[in-house]
Formats: sequence, structure tokens, C-alpha cells
Amino acid sequence: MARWQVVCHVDDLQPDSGVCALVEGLQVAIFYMPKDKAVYAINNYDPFSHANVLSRGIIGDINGQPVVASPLYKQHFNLQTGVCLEDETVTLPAYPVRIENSSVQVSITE
Amino acid sequence: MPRITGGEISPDMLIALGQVGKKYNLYTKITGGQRVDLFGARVDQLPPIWKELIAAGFESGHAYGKSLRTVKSCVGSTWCRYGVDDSVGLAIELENRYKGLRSPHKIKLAVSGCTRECAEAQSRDVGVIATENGWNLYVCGNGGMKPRHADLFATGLDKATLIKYIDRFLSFYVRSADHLQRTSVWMENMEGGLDYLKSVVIDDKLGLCGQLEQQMQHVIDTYQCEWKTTIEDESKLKRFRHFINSEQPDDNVMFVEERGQIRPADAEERKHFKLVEVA
Repeated sequence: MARWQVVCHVDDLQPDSGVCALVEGLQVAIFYMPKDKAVYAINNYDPFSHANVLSRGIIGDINGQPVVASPLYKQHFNLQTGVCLEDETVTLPAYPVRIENSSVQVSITE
Repeated sequence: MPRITGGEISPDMLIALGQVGKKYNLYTKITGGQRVDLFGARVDQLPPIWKELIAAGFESGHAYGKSLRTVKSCVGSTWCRYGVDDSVGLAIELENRYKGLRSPHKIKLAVSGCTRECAEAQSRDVGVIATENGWNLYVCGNGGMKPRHADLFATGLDKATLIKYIDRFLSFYVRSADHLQRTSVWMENMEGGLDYLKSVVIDDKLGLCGQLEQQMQHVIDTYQCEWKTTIEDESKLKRFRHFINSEQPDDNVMFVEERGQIRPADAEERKHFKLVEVA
């Protein structure tokens, strides 16, 4: 069952960018697009560069899919599914995330 | 990486740089652009490091940006028996003039004090070489993946004319080149090439020169060291922690020692550390 964990206040998020949160020992990159009222969470680890950097990537959209580009080698990851657009055999964990009364909550399923 | 204009640095500034490197256990290396790399800082260490560098008189080197990088120089007439003019003085003046300029790609300049060309100005986007008759200006050279020698653009210039031409040239490039297009490719794709570029920058064929100079003056007048702005702004400093909800650093960042300095651990070496599970 999904258990929502409070991570931070909505003001701690970076509008149109990402932050990294530590949730149950996992590094979770949380991206916030206030204009679309959208928030996404994927694992922060970039499998191509072997570094925890995705929260610092530039966000955008490709063919209507919200994506983050890795700041190192620029592969794009779908923010909803975690799928890499350049190599569909690579998928990052994507986590349910929501904003409830200004509190940002992530759910890590076992 | 802090800016070291023209590659000239006093002993006191060098010591300050070394003290920061030592205090934060950074990897240090002299770069090809006549400055000093300081690598291996964690993101949360960047504000205190820059606070110390700025207090010592340094400013941002814009080393990762699509922006003006360095103006390399030889020691020039001041210290070299062959030197014809003060290449260091001009390099510092040019670097202070164009620092902070954002551009379609990185921009590098160099100034040589004579035609022996120790500053390798002919492999730069803008290269200046001192001659008995004044400054010679070269443009659109680069090293890198596809090296290209710069083309001679104008000869025997006084300093005021030289700076006017460089202002116009760089402004025109910034305004009209494609993203990620270096000056060489920009000029090669231009109909009429070098001759056309000369007609725009020197003869003002498009009637744009006033505007180009004005735009460059605006960039110069609004220069700021972004690191100075950042360390003075609490809300900007929020970005410089690895986790938004924890003071812990990223435990995936691991270093080993090599030749008396740190370097990132490779895949094999990482196996000996505690590995971080990724769900």
C-alpha cells in the first residue's frame, strides 16, 4: 500500500527546476512546474554517468512528454515514467508525488 | 574556476588560491587558458569556497558557460626581448571588457606581443598580434575537435580601433550565430564569408555598427560576478545543498588519492566502498 511521506514544504521546491530529497535512504529528484500545477519524482541517479545529478538537469518537453535532460551527457528521461528517450531499455524508478496543503509528499512502494 | 585575467596573478593571489585548495582538499591543475582548476568540491562547499575566493579578490571565471572564457597572453614587451607591445596589458583590458558576455558557444581570445606568437592567438575566436605598425587582428580560429587557424581581419590598428572592431565582431556573432555554433562555422556558413564579415564590421555595410557597439556597451555596463550575487542572496543559496530535507552529503561521491591529490574513484575502486543501492 502506498505510504505518503512528507518531504518538504512547497516553497522548498525550485519552480521549473528540480531538487533532491532523501526518502527512506533513496535519492529522489523532485521537479515542479507551477504553471502546469505539475510535480514529478524520479530517482536522482543517472545510469549513464553513474552520478546522483538528475535533480540538477534542465527540464522541458519533447513531443508533449515532460522530460529532464541529464546535466552530464544530456540523455532525456520522461518525468512520468522514468523511461530514457534515447535508450528505451533504460528506465529509472518514478515515484508517486503530490502536494497536499503545501506539503510535498512522496510515496516509495516496497 | 576563478578568473585570472590575462593569466597574470600576484604571489598573494596565488597563495590565497592555494590556501582555498588546501583547506577544502581540492584537486588543482594549471589550465590551457592560463588559470587554475580547483576540482572535487561538493555542491554544499561551493558557497564557502567562493566566499573565500571573492574575499581574496577573485571573481567567477565563467568556466563552464557558453561565454567568454580566457584571454591568453605572452609576457610581451615588458619582459621579453622580442616583445613589440604590451600584450599582457591589452589581454587584461580585453578580458575585463568582455567577461560575463554570454554567447552561442564558448569564446576564447589571445594576445601575442610579437609575430613569434607565443600566446597562440591564431587559434582563437579573436586573436591579436603586436607589430611595429600596430595591432593585427585575427578572427574565427579555434582549437578543439576541428582546429582552424584564424583569418587575418585587419592590420596596423591603434588600440581604440582594435577594440571597436572586436566589440562589433563579437556583438554581431552573439546576435546572429546559431546556438552552439562557433565563430569559425558561423563565418564559413555566411554568404560572402570573411569579405562580407569585413564589410559589416569595418565598412558598416549593414548600418548596424552603432547598434552593435551599443549592445556591447550595455553588456559591459551590466556585468556582475554571479558568484558574488549568489553568496549574498539567501534564497539562491538554498540550491547549494545536495538534499532539500537533509544536511547529509551525497554518499556516492568518492575520491581516492593519486600523485598526492584527490581524484574520483573509478568503478573498480568503488567496489571497495560501501555501495549505494538504487531501487
